Amino acid sequence: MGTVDVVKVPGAISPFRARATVVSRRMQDIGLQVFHNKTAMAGLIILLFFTFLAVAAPLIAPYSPLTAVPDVGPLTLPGGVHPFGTNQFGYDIYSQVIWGTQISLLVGVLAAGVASVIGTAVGLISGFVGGWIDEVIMRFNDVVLSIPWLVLMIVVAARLNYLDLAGIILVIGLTGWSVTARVVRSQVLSLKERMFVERGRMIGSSNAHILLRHIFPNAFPLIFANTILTVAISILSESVLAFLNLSVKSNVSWGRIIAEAYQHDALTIGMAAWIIVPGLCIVFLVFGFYLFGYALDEILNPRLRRR
Amino acid sequence: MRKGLLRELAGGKPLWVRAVDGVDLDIRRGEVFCLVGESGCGKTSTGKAILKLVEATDGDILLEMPEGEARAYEDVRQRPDDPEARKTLDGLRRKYSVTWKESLPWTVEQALKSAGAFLAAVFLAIVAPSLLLAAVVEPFGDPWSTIGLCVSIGLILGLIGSLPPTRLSRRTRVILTLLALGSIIVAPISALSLHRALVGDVSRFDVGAALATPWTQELAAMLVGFAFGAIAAGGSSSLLLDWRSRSEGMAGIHMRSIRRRLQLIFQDPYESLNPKQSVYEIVSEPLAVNRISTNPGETSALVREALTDVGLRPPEEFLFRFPHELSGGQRQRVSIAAALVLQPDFIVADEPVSMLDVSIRTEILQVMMELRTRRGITYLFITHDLSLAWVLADRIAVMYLGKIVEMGTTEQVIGHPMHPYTKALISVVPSPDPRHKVERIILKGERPDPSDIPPGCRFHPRCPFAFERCGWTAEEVADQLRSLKAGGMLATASGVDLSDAGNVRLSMGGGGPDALVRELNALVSERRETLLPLKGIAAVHATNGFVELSLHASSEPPLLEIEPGNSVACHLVSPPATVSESLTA
Amino acid sequence: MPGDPSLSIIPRDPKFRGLRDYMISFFGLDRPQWEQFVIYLQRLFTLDWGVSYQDHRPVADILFHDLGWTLLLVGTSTIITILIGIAVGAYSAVRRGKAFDFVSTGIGIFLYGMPIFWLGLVLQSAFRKNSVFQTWIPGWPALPTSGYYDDRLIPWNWDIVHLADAGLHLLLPALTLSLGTLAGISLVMRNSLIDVMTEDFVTTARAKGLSPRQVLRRHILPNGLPPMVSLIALDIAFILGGAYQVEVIFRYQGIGFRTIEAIGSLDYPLLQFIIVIGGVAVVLANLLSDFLLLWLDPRIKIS
Repeated sequence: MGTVDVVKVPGAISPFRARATVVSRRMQDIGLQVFHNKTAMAGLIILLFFTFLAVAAPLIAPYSPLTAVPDVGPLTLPGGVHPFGTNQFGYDIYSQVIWGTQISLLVGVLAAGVASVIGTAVGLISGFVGGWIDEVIMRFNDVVLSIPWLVLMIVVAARLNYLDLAGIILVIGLTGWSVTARVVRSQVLSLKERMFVERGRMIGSSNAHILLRHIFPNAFPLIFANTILTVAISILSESVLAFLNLSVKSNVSWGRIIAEAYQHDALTIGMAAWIIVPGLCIVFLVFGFYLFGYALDEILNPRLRRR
Repeated sequence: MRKGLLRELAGGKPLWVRAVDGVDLDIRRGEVFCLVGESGCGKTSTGKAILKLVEATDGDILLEMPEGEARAYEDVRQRPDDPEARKTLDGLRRKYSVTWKESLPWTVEQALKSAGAFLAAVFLAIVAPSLLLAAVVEPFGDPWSTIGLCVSIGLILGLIGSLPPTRLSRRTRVILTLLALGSIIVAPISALSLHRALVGDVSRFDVGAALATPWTQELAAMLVGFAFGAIAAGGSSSLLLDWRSRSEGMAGIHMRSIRRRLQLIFQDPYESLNPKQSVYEIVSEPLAVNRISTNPGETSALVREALTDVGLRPPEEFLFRFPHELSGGQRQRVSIAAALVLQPDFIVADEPVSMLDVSIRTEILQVMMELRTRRGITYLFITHDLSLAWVLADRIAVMYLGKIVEMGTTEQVIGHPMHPYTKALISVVPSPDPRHKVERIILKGERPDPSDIPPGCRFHPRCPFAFERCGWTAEEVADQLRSLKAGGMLATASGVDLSDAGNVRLSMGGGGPDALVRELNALVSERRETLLPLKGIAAVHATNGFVELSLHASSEPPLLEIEPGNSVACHLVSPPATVSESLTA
Repeated sequence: MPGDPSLSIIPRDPKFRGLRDYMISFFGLDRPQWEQFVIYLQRLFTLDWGVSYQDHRPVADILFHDLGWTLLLVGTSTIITILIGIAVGAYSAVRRGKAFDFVSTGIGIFLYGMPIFWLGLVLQSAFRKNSVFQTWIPGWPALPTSGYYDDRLIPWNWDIVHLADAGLHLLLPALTLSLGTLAGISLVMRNSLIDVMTEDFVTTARAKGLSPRQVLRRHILPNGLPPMVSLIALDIAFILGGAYQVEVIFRYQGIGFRTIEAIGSLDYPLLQFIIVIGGVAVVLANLLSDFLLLWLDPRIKIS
């Protein structure tokens, strides 16, 4: 039992106020725990770094990523002003890498958002309603999971010859919801049997009310942690698609940079950074998300047994 | 409140578990009624069934039935075959029962009337839209007309089929939906032929050819039409039937309207509270859900009042705490407050203190009793602890394996218990006075599995006073003889088995049967008081090489009222008027 | 399926109109859509999969041929992955909190986030003939970094030379795929085992005096493995995705490589059936794992 300040409540408490107080207390609680958790902080630092890169790209990148630099020609070796050299069109690779952060983060987060929303909705409904609807949805889910995601995404991406940002986000999101749905559903199934749900029924709550006020809030920690991991996977997916030339055509993405580097045999001509750096960026970004997600999962789902 | 309750839980395969088998309880307003029994005896199921948290397979839960009608109910229940009685029963149940389902059978007259109505509906449903469609546009020219056709068929069918004189029953809706599906299949043909007739096309209508043309789009439209037509039929029928039942007064009591007045306090104070909700939200939720008070000022006032009543003072200190920030006792108080906030008349308390420390139990119980005096609440207290019932209850019912074995006021049940089970339970209650020595009756054996209920009196395998009629089975007697044999008796028998007729049969080793017969008779007469299964043996005789033992007939003891308000179910206790049978050797 | 396939074979020159019409009718592209679908299903099941636009060989032949190589790759790397993954995961779980655990989990998370194609590229450059490493470390092996034994040019023979050659060509791709999927499995294994290890019954077993190894073998593993199996099955789709990437990088002519090519050239007959194969493979893998689970875990009954 923690110490609680006595809340001075004069008379009426609106339900909004009640909820707000609860939520803010919970957030403070969690924030504190995150702060003390080394893994979480490590992940968070990495994420903040990349977010900074993405947001400040226009300011810190020395050149525009899609314009030939004026001072040196294409395929220049790394050195001096161009720490990573220039690519086959003469674009500064260093700037490209910095700008690439935007795409990765944007696509990753938004696509994961889409996948999470769909997956959560499906999982909640499927798990709560049960019966044949559940069966049907799960079979469908199995089918979606069965198809190798890459093939699915390649086909979908190929269908739309020109993929803009929204397109990519949708493609990744619409193929990634299955795992979330499954996870959410199993959580809902176990929550359904809890005593406080029974109590909710007893006082006469409608099913919708139980779903929203009892089941969802208790499933949320899991959903959130899962979303973060989904972001990591989305970023990876985007890089693969970019590498195969199926991603956003108008912007730079790390995968694209690697593809270009590969085409031009970057390693033989001594431009190792061209290939290595974007790859490392992907690795670290995903690493950051994974660390944070993993730690958050531990915090939000306290496993009562610890040795 | 009273019921004759049967609750069956499905096990795997054809196994049914009768968790509660024929329980009748009368609880009067303002009293504390205690339901006592071991875990697994069905008391929790009973409590939950009252609140319809769990469905009762059979029986009635009657709310606030006045004395006169209660007697009428009892009377009518005795005569299940009298149609007049049936009608009265139905009427009573409609008024007072929470679980009312129509039980009157279909009479031929009603069936005919309903069938007639259905046919009329079908005819109308097929003809009218087809006519309309055929006259206006070429049927199946475009998918929307198909869907429209199907939906209108469904609607007409649903509406007309639900008007009087069709009988109000759950089946009506299903029947109508099925009819709708059938009609939708027939409709295209009728529509097409009508169309042709109107258009003047007199060539022979070749159904085969008509159906053979590829119809992809139309097929899809048909399928959609099917679905929507069925939905239309079912939906419109439900609505109309509902309206009819309400206007004809056939609706019975809806759970929703009485939920406020019946509440439950759960056993586990932690699990029953949503860990993500604050105390304020938990206690105010029933108000919000039932839309009793929408005004935040009123809600907060009610919440505060409820918290104060259960002893959480000052309420402000607890309003925004989470369940994990409260002690067990405090959590249970919150639970009670949440139940109180709706100002119920009746509370079922399912072992409210068994998960709390002993030192806190008294406090919680005091709170509950205080509430009873102050707010006039009736309690059904479910517990395994007889000493609790002793202290709190006005009346007690003791349950064993789904049946009530003894019931009465506290003085009656505790003062002079009749049933051996009750006696045993009382004898093991510890007494604080060390000089007060009571002979403890320790029951042998273990509580049996509710899926495998002993025949005859359910308690007989553990009862220290069981005798012939209590239901000894061939297995039990055989087991007893086998253990005797293992102990050295019955040396001349080679084996103990069960015969096809259900008797116990001993096969002979060597020598004649007479010695064995004598030994058995001697055993029975000497040892029957200590080895109770032996009492089940009625006669011993030798037949073609075997020695067969026939057993006494047994029956389940009915719950008999031996004094007003006091009932027992035990063969040892005979109603005052009858003479006890003589017992055979 | 996007685009107009007939354009990819025959140019749009009016001269070729007759030929184009013929091809269209040959491939059945002029029949109504749903009829095409029915024909598709028919052909699917009779294994009459038509002729590839590009290669002009029967699709079925191509696909089964490539499937074999892909299976070889996936199979080898999966075996390696499972063996090493389980071992590492188990070891980490047992030595929880100690140096090995820390290091291996760290590496695991790191690898987990690595795009497989990038890993492939790195390894490729490391093991190339004139790679940087060769100049630094003497005796650093140069492994074949592309393709496999192309048996369309030279007939296949089950003798040692050919086998060795194929094996050598398999080495790098398999290594890449293994490393990529290793991380996931070892991490999951570790977590699963840790969950089991903190259960009460394990403490009871220890109290009874069983040696740690016995406890591991008899109590922890039987309870920790089943969730692993189902998770691996779920991952099959992802493993396939990884395989595709590996094939492209290493020019390893398996299904993945063929898929990318087919998309590039809009080779429809091929594409249609590739997707089918992919799906079927995953379904089969899942079935297999279900059976495996049944065998492993006596508690699960066939419902």
